[in-house]
Amino acid sequence: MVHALKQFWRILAPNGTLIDLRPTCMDVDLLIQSKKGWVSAGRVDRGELRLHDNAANRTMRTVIQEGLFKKVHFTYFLTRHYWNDLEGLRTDTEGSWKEDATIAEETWQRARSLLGTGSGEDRICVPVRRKITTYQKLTT
Amino acid sequence: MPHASDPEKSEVRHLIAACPLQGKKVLDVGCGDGEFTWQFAALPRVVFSIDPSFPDLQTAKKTRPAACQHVHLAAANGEAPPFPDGSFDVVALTSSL
Repeated sequence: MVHALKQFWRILAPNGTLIDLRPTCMDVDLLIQSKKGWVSAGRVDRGELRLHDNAANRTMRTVIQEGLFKKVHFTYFLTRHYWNDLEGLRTDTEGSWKEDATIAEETWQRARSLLGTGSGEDRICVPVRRKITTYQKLTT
Repeated sequence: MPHASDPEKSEVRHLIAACPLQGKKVLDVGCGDGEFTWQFAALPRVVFSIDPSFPDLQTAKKTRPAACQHVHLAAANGEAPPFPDGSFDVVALTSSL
């Protein structure tokens, strides 16, 4: 990854901007919309992302220490992902989200229980915490 | 796939707030199937979107909005981006670092 960042430094114009936008490994809630509003059924474990997140952070620290970039700004925010039913969420957690999210069986059970108390127009939401960081290219 | 991913457009709003893209020449690294790219790609003057996955790039081509005809899609990865020195104002790593 350090090599790739050095390539991005090469192709950036002087004072150009590098943007790093990615999901974080922080655990989040599995939310169910019920008559009482949004209720948490439990946590979505995103620990599988931790190794990747740490490696990406180390890579950025390396190129900063080498004087290629300086950090300008960062902020965290949420993106919300909605499903109409638990089957759809389960399909994704066993498919495209397999490396991003793990949900304990007790959380599935609580989610099923909460869905049964709703109005029939229940929705399921996983808010994913993301981080965006901007860096400026430095030149010697 | 989720019934709706980020319908509030939070991700693209934060991207544009972090770095105004109007008039810029942008390299979009890891465009995937274009789902996120097509939300911002109308803003810059020039966009090159790269991804190593041919199937995802094919999907991106099929879903390209009319306002994004200036976007160049190419199969490439970040280890050897085929561009000259100093040729971009912005390099955006979207879930690709």
